[in-house]
Amino acid sequence: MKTNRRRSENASTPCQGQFETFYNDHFRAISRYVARRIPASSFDGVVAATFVVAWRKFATAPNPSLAWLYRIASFEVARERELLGRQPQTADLNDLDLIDTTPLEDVLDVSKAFSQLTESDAELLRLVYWENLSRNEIADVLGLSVNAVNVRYHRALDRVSGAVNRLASTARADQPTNRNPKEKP
Amino acid sequence: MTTDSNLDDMLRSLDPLTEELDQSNELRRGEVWAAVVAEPAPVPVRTRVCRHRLIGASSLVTVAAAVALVIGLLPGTAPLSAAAAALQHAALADASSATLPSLASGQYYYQQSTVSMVCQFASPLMGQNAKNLTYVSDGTMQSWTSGSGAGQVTITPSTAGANGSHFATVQDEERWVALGKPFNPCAVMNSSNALNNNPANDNPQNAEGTAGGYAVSLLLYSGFGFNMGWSTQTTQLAAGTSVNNLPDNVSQIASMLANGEINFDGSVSPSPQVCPSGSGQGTVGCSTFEQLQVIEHLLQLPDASAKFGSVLYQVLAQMPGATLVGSVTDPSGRVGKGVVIPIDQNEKLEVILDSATGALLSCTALVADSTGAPLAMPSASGYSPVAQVTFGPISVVQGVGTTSSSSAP
Repeated sequence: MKTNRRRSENASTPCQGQFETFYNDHFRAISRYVARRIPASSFDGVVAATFVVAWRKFATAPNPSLAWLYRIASFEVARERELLGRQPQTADLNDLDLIDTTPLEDVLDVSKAFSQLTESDAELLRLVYWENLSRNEIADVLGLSVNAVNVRYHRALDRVSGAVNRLASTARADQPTNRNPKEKP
Repeated sequence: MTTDSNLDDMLRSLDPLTEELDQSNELRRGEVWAAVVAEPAPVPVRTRVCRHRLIGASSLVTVAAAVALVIGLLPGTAPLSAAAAALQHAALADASSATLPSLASGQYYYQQSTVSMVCQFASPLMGQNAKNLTYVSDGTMQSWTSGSGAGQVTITPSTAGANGSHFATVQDEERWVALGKPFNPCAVMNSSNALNNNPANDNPQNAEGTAGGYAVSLLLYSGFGFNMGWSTQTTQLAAGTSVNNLPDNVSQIASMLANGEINFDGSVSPSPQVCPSGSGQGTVGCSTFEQLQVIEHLLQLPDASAKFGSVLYQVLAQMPGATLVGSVTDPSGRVGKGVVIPIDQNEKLEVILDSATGALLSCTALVADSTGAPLAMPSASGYSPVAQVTFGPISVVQGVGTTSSSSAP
């Protein structure tokens, strides 16, 4: 927002043509972002709400960009989750794109560890690993400095790694140590 | 033990989006777009027209010319409507306003005015269909103008809850408190009103939110040639000279305005152009509203004050539907004559003029309640204010940045 009594640039009016181009350029990215975070039944509503808010702000936003859209989408996702009264979805086993070389137990451990993260840590990792955003882009989306994103990213990774190792240790400790249990009489 | 690269791969593998779902969602593109455009169109961001009284020394020597110009504009012997008469009176008073004291070297005319903008927002803590909260942000506009026209305009937004900034209604404030005082983006209008550690913007449920909090939507109405900024905004004024190249003939000026030939800085384009405001989106020429925008900009040029001050009132008086609403009180408690001019079917401009002198006291942009614009509150008339400027008196000061009046030279 700027104030300039003698500005030479023009007051602007939202232009549907420009916004339609903007929509078509970014629909795919936003649809993926939303689909990853809310149930399919809410998909249309949340994506549409994101673009409705964007359209209303389009003329006044200093730099409408994909990062700006992600930020709006994050608010709409938060609203929808609150409405649905549920926590962020964790991956179901059937959804996992299992990697051949990775033991299933490890993947499950990471899934569990991921679900134990705070929402802010989890969201940062989603933006890194699912949206494939750069640190600069993530900084724009989250309203943080790049340095803060880097610090949070490494802390979040440490937390996942630590949780995975704890889960693995617990699993080992839970395994029976008596390989020849006494038969019941 | 998990290695870093394994961890990266496994985190990627948690992505729940399958290719089938992605392709299925892509097919929704058209239907989602239809849902987006089915929503009410956004309110255009517009520059409101308002007579901002920057009086230059050139006014002092052109009083007679200005008065003659006004008289020349009178539409023959046709009876004037009450509104037109009030505006004619204001146009005459505009010329007489040049009776301000002349300035000694280094002195400036100083005027302090109040700017009010309506703003709406929603918080993630609110239900999806909850009504937005409405806040009225106030700021102070100060102008210093030298005899040459050089000077400065500074707009200082008020801090949250200060200098008149307030929730539009008691109910809005009560809802905000009941929600836990969520982040109020409309109140973050001053560098001292930091996002973080500000009780007015503190949201305990969103301690890790972006920039100390966030809102799910924000609607602002800009007006009168500026938006309320996040911090103090200063614009330097240079003496304008190009307006001297414009003709004095009002019908000629009106024609040039209609053709988009007069630019914001007073320079002239050689042939009909797209209106400088650009909102015509490719259409050559300016709508009446756009012409008012151009005039508003011209009036910021001190040299143009005497030349165009009366023109604005004439344009207003000639607009169909201008009505005199009689005795009204401006936001500063001053009683004056109100004139309401329809801008289009959903918008009106109300000016309040001093009953005795015709001096402009305030301008208010009114928008129909049904438009979805951020409104202070629905009104019985079906229109609600969205932006307002209340003009203060003009005094003489010793330099830019000084505000105490000096004795007239």
